[in-house]
Amino acid sequence: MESTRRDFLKQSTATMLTAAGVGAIGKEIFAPTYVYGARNLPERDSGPTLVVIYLRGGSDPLSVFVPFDDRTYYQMRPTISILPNDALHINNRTFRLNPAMAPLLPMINAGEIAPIINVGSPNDTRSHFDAQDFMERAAPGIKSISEGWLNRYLEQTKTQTDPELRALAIQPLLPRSLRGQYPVLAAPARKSNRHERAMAVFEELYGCDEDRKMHRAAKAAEMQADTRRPGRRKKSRKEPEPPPIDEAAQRQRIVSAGSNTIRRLRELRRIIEESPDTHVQYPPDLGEKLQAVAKVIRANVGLEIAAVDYGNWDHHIRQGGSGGVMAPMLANLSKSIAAFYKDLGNRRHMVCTLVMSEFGRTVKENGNRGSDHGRGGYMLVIGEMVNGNRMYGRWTGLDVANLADGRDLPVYTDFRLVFAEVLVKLFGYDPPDARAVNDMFPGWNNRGRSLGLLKQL
Amino acid sequence: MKRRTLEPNLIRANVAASLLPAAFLVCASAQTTQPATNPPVDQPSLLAEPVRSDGPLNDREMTFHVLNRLAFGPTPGQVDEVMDIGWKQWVHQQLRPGKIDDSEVDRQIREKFPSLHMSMENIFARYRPEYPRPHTQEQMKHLRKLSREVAGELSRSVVYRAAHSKRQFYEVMVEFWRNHFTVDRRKTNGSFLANHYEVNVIRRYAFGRFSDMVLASAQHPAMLFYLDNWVSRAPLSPNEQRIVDRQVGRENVSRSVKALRRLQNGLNENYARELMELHTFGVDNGYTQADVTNLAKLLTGWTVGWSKPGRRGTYGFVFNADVHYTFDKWMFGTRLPRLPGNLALGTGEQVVIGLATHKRTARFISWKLCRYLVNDEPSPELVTRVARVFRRTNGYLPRVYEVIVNDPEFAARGNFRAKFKTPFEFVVSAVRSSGARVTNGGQVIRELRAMGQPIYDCEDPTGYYDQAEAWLYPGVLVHRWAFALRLSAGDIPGVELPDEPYESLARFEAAHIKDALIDAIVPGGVDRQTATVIDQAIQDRTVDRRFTHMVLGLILGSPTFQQQ
Repeated sequence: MESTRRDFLKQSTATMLTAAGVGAIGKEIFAPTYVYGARNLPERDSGPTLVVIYLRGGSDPLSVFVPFDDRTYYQMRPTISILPNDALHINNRTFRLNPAMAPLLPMINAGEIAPIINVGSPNDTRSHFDAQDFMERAAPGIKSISEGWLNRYLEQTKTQTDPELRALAIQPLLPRSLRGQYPVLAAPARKSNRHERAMAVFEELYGCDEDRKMHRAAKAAEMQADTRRPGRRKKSRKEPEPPPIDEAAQRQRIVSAGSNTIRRLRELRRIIEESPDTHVQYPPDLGEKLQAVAKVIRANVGLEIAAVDYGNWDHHIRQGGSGGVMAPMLANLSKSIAAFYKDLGNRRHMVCTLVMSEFGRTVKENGNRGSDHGRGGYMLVIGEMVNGNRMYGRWTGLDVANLADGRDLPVYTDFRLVFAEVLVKLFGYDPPDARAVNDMFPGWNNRGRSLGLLKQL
Repeated sequence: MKRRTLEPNLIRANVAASLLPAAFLVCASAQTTQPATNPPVDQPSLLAEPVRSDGPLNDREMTFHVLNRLAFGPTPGQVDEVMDIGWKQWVHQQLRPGKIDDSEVDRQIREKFPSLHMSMENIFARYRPEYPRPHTQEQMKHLRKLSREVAGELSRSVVYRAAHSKRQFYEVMVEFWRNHFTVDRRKTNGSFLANHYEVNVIRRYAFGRFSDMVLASAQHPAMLFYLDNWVSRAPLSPNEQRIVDRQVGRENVSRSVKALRRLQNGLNENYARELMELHTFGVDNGYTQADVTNLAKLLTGWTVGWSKPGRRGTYGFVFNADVHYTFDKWMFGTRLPRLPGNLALGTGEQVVIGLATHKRTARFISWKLCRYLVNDEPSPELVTRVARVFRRTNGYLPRVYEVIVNDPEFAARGNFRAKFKTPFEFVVSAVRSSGARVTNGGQVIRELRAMGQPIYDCEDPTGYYDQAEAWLYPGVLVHRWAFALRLSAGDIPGVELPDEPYESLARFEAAHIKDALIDAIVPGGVDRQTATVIDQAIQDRTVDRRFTHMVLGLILGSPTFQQQ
């Protein structure tokens, strides 16, 4: 029986509804094409890429999408609202756009941006750290999950021939969404002379050339071990690993991590250096990171997932409306994304960008012309494959009765709904069994819903 | 000191030098008996292999093992010093840290980091002046500066003590508990409270009773804020809930209804859950969601405040009986006595102590300690032996440490250098091994952040992971290599590399220098691959000070040095 991508969503329903005895049902619905994980991709070098931009700090949705027709909005925000005439028309009856985001207007009008409002986590934490954790691990309220959702996807669908740069974070540290079993390179966009020198000095010590062969062999052996145990589950923290690692084994792991580092970092540097100049102007910060991502995408080396962070969205003070601290950041974000898509050239149609933040902010402004941590936020799904020209998510206005705890935008759309749809429609993620679904989104019941954000690629 | 195969010319060369280079040169001479100048001709595989790989650890290896695990690595010459008194005697001393004279380090701490020994009231008075809101730009700037200052003092004191304290095992265990009872300073007021927390919870009980540490952390503002227990209140009674529900959607309500609105959803289970999952029982270890909720109810009203209104009096733990859950309380299926007012606090404290001394806790903590000190995956038998002592001594930690260190499994060949150093362990051991002195830990702290292990800023309540997998992802080793090269070139601001022994060493042949450094820094020897590469690297090099630094950097960045 040929499994279709859409079944995934139905599938997760089945998982959740029957909890324990679901394995058998899942197996009946799905006759998996591959033994372990599956990606129904066409050819590697023309494959799709997902770019995740994380706005850290809780970006304010009401300063992005302006409910210009709502008097409560102007009452609640005397100094940080945006006037109807300043805001940009986006073919929507309820919302207009922050004028700082004008660079995105052409893409919005072309239907290449799908905004989602009142989206977020079912867990009501207002702590940045908890909220980011829950979101990046796609496991709200579950603290025992330590792998990021993107890493779980990579691990579940790995193959023997995975490219070196299948996933990438353009920053010094891996974001939590990419941490986990699957090794992912994290490196800043800019070359560091110190690091180049360090690699040159330690290249031989970490057996770089020789290791390449061994690396392949070890990976093949590992894959074989995996296929022998198709339903392999993640070990819980309590279960002991069978053979303890001794000095030699540990050292071997260190050596191969070292050569892995050198190989991948070199490849990234080579791609960035050899990439032809496209004469697209990027703004600083985020722009610089996205430019590096664009170069890797254009190099056709099989990049599937790239993550970049954009920080400082926690605007408790002097947030402002069309002025203030936030507008220049929105302008930077918009210019960066517009430049990125211009730069992608003929790879443009295969790149989907997801913009997200951990939560929204209070509807009422605070005493410092800013806003405090809230609940419902916004997301942007960007690319030629999205069904644009409309807003997604449920909007119930700003009446205090309809706000979460009488103060914040409510959460009507679970962010996992967006994540699942992107994986399924962009990558053709096709979980082999119910267990894989539950590994991917632990303890989640999406009740068979799909937002219809993306066209089938 | 054992001067085994010391040659007379070496002694002469060494006459003017201090004890520090002496130790290096002794090692050099010890190694000269082996022909090390010619690298092995045929190298069948580039696979890293240990030099020796079977039989029990010899005395030198064992001493090195002890200094790796119970200290942040040996300082130059320390392996020989400890061998002189015997590693067992050294361990005996380290298990009684109060008797080790560490007055110089203590004095430095008092001088350089005064906030560490301040009361919380004084910290607020000194580092958090009350400006009227909204603040001016200058006031904001000043507040940020003070906040950085108080946070910096704590981080720098952590690095300084780890690198230079003579109570090394104490510092190693403090690092364990700091991580076990982790708090993230970026959450509410963290940077003002963590200094007090470090001294009065972690350092105070690291060689005391485990249950005392659990209770102290449970009642410290740093933890109460970090895991949200300070806002946890008894849920509304059915009657009160009805009043609130009736008023839903209305904006103009009486003050009492507003107060009730704030109270609804008042129960916060965050701390109760982590107390069971992370601090005592361990995840999924014999408790249910109902137990978590019950525990959260018991801990309602455990909050933070001033003893007098208006930020006056003392600041700290407060039991607020008004928001404490007063209905029947249950724990593990037992109904607890219903006590009025402050007596209810006693019930909660007893339950916390009960959790901390429970047999499941004994096993979980023993397992975690064994993982830290012995192997990433300690055997269940070892854990059982240790847990038995934990139970018998009612969680008296020095006895628990002692039984781990004296266990044959600790000394087993299979556990020698079997652990991958965390960034903190790597950085501190590199500083110690090179004989460097930390005069300002600021840059070291930034390097730790770049390596993903900033001090007191762990994102997760789980603390940093202790297993190799957590730290071995592509991209991380390059930071360690760069650090090794910078440190060995004396290029890290605030970390001073001494002139000696490197200047004295520079008078010798290349091979001697290499052997001296290897034997001083990694006395168990390096793997063959590293030895070969270093040999190739030093061929045809003029020997000077830069040369010795280069060899030092190669050793610190080698795979072997990442292990302990």
